[in-house]
Parts: sequence; C-alpha cells; structure tokens
Amino acid sequence: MLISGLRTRLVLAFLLVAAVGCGTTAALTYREARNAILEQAQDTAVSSFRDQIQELHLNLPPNNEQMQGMVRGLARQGKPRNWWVYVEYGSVRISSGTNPTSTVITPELRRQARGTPHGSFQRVVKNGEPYLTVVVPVVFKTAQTGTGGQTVRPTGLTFYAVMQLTDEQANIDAMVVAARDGALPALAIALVPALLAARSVLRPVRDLRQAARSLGRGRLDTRIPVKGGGELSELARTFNESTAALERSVDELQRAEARARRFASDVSHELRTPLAGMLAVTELLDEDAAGLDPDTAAAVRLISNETGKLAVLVEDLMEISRFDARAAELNTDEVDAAETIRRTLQSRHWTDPAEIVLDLPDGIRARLDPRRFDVVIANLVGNALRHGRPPVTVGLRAESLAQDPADGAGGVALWLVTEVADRGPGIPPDVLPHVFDRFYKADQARTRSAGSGLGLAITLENVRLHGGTVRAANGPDGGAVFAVEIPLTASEVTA
Amino acid sequence: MRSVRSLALESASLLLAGCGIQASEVVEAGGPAVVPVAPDQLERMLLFFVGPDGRPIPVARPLDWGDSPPPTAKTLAALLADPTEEERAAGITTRLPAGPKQVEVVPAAREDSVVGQEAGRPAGAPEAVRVTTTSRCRSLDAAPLRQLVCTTAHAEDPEGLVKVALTGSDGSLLAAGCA
Repeated sequence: MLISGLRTRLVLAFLLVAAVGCGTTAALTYREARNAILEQAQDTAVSSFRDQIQELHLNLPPNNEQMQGMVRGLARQGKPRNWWVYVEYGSVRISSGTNPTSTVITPELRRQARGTPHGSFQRVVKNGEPYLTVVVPVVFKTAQTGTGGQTVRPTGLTFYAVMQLTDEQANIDAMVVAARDGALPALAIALVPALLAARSVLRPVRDLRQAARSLGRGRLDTRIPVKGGGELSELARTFNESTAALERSVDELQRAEARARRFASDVSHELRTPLAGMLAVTELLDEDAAGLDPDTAAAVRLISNETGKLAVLVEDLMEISRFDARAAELNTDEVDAAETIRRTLQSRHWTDPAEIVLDLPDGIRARLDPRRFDVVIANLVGNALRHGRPPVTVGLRAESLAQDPADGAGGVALWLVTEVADRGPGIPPDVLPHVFDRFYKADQARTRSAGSGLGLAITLENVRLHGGTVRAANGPDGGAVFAVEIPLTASEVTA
Repeated sequence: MRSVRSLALESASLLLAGCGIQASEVVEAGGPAVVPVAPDQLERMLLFFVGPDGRPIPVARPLDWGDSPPPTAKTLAALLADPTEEERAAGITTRLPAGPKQVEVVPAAREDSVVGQEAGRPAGAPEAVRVTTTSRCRSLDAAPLRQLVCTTAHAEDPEGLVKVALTGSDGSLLAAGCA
C-alpha cells in the first residue's frame, strides 16, 4: 500500500485525528488527576502534621528528652502513612530516624520555615524516589491561656516531616498505564470508521475507474450510477454527460462514414453498366481504327484506353467498397503457393526472364484464397514493373516467425513469406508510411498514372483478410522490397 | 508532513516528560502550629535570647517568687544576666554586652505612676515605656536591641504591643515595638 494512496492517506488522517484527540484527552485527564492526587496527599499531610503538633505542650526551652518524646510520638501517629519526623531547636537536631538531620530536606525549605510563620511543603525527587517534605514552625500565644490574646511569637522550634510518595507514584503510574491501554484500543477502534469512510469515498472512484476502462474498450454506453449530491457524484454526473456527448459524436461520425461508403459503392455500381457498354463499343472502334485517318484513329485509341482505365478504377472502387462494408469473403483452398504465383505471372504474360526472376521453391502448400492471392501478387509485380526497374525478383519461402505477443503465448508459427523486389530507385523515406494509402501519389506533380491509385490499398486489404501483413521497405542494394507474410495455418484464421 | 511529524514527536516527548511525580517549589500551606507553653503567662517571665542563627528565641522561666507578674526591672535584670546552662546547651546565647548593669523602667501610661504597679494596662497603649540602662545602647546591633525591646514589651504587656524607648549611657533611641 503506497503512502500516496487515497485510502492510506484517509486512514492515516483519521488515525492522526483520533490519536491527537485521545492523546490530548488522556494528557489533560492525567494531569488533572495527578495534580488532584498530589494535592490531596500534600494537604492531608500538612494539616494532619500541624494538628498533631498542636496537641503538644512545650517548655521553653524544651529539654532533649521532651523533644525526643515529641518526635517519637509524632512519628508513631504518622498519617496517612509513615513519615520521618525531625525537630530543630537552636543548635539541637533530633529525629525519629537514625540520622539527626534529613538529606532530603532542601535549603530552600529551611529558609522558608525561618522566613515566614507558615507551614510549607516541597516535593523532592531524590535517587528517582519522590518525597514530600513538610515543615511546620511552632509558635505560641504570649497572652494567658484562654484570654483570647492574639499575639503569637515563634518558639524557635521547627518540625519537619519527610514521607515517601510511593503510593501516589503507584497510582499515577497506574493512570499512565490506563491512559495508554485506553488510547491504543481507541485507536484500533478508530481504524474501523476510518476504513469505512475510506471505502465510501473510494467506491465511486473505483466505479469511475471501471467505467473509464470500459469506455476505453469501446463501450460508449457506459454510465455511472449517480448517488447523492457530493463532489464525487458531481464528478460522476459530468462523466456521464461527457460519455453521452462522446457517444453521440461517434455515432454521427459512423453514420456519416457509412453514408459516404454506401455512396461510393452505389456510384461504382451505377457506373458499371454504362461502362460495360462503352467498353464493348470502344473495342469495336479499336478494331476499326486501322481504317480511319490517323488523327481520328489516335482519338479513338485514347478514348478506348481511358475507358479501360475507368473500368479498372470502378472495379477497384467496388472491391474496396466491399472491404469497407466488411462484405469481402475469403474462399480458401489448399494450393501450392509457387504454382499459384507462376500461374498469376503467366496469365499476365510476365514471363520474360530479363524482367522477372523467380525464386519459387515447390512444395509449400498453403490455405489461400487463390483469387485474392492472385490480386496481391499481380498488384505487387505490376507495381514493381511500372515504378521500379527490371529485373523484378519474386521470392517465396516458409519462415518461422515469433508470434505477435498480443495474439497469444508468444509461440513460434510458420509463415508464408512472399517477397517482390525491384532494382529501381526505391521509395523515398517520407513516402514509405503512405504507400498503402488510397489514391496516394508518391509524386505530387505526376497526377496521371497507369494504376487506379487503389492497387496497394486493395493488396493490403486482401492480405489482412488472410490474417497476414504486407510491409514496404528499401532493399540493401537499392530498390523497393514488398514482403507479404501470411500465416501457413491460414485455415484457422478467421477474416 | 515533516513538520507534522516533528510536532507529534515534540508533544509526545513533552507528555513523557510530564509523567510521574516532579519535584516542586516550596509551597506555603496554612499557618504554623500554635502550641500552649508551660508555665502559663502569669507564672513565667518571658526572656528573649538569641539562637545560633541570630534570630530571637524566647525562654519562659518559671517565677520563683510570689509576686506575679514580676516587675519589669527584675525581668530585664534576668535578661541581662547570661542564659542558664541548660539554655546554653540548646545553643541559646545573648548578644547583650557583659558586665554589671543597672536598669530603670518608667511604665508608659503616666510618668508619675508608681514603678511596676500598673502592669495590666489596656493593650495598644500609645505611649512608650521608658527604659534607662547604665550600659550603652545606641551602638548596639539589631539583635541585642530586639532582645531588650521584646523582653520589656512582653513584661509590660501580655500581648507585647507596647512601644519601648531605650536610653543608655551613650544616648537614647526612638521608641520601637517588638516585631
């Protein structure tokens, strides 16, 4: 899970908020509770110490035995727990313990006791142990007892008490543990709404992604259900509107294209019949041309020639229309490839060894549509003879080619490779990508050519129908090379 | 993200530092302990000596004669004599100059009243008790002066609120109270 993931960030934000909340609450509660515990312990200790001292009776100066008795008595009454009691009078230091003076009591506390007639306390941490030190100076009323005199004078006697805060420490430690043990489950519980919130946010995002992917596969009728009125449903609505607009435009384009194709197809059909009549007439005229005067004979031959080209063009147009309408059918037959090519060349009278060099090994049998394969070879060889220079080499071989990885497991299949090469100047590099385009003229200045301008386009469509490819390139020693690759298992390839 | 992280770290360390019991300043909590002193006021004389730290320490000596309260002059004479052995053992000393002294006391209310007869005047009398000694007093420190003033004030007045004007061999001082 990436840190930049939406889900992670949402969950982390949630946990952070929960942690800050838990932590702040726990810290504040802890501080208040700790202060309350300590305050209670301190106040109780100071007031009970003072109360117990006030039960005493003094002589001035008190003798050592009297002070020892007082200290022991106070230490015995230690409340709420045991304390060590120290007394200081003049130069006398007496304690309830073994040392006459305490090492825990700080000089500040002594100074405070001398300076003001008040009880005081101070918390001291010594060797990691917390102690409470209490000082209570002793005063007496100078007036006769019971007369309500107000004046008090210090007796010079000062009592100190030192107690360990172990119980308080334990309580406070317990609070820390409780806060931690409470905060961690709270965080764990906060994980649940965090995940739920992340899910509720991420579900529309996931829907959107799936919809976009399905749109990319061409399903333009994909829509997202719009729920509620949040930003995400706003996004879904916008997506739906965009998809609908896209669907409309694509639909319109397709219909326009279909109309254009039907028009081309209709036009060629309509032209075919009058052209057939014109052809018959021009043939007759051609035969009689010898008997006409030379100017008329030239005009008649020109008309006959152009009419023939027009007929070819219309045939080609009809052929390409069939491809566009996906009406072209593949009628395969198992044939010998070399024999098929040879027959094609013979029927066109391309048999002069000076012009055509053949490299056709016998015995390669392939499932081909003989008529379409004939068109392919005739187009390529005719093209080479027209635009290149002889000799034109026609080669045939069966080759193991790595299968296109998109088709399957990337295995190796046998392909029938037919190559037509000429010795001409080759194809300029800027023309190479367009040689199979319809009506593409390599030389813009040459508006008239012997071909219809559809020959290579029809070749490409025929090869595609066989499940193969045709590529144009320039050979190493000059001249254009057209290679037709058709899978030898063509029977399995559906058009 | 980085600043947030450092903030969290800081607050966490602050929280940890705030855990447990910390040492504190000295905190005042309530008054001192008020203790009855024996013998009671009528049966004692209150003398203010000085402890080892220079602060006054009162000593309550039982009266060994019948007249109570004793005349202030007698109380001052007891003060001018040194502390007893028991008192000295507790670190109690006097800062008053040694040597024989004579003390005369004129009570505050009326100068013509009989010496030592009017000890129980109303508290807070505005006028001062006059004490005349044969020893010097202007050159004395604060501690011995406080000894004289406080002892006199408490001998004259149970509340010790009366003012005392001292006159010694080297001149007189302004009237002062026992603070």
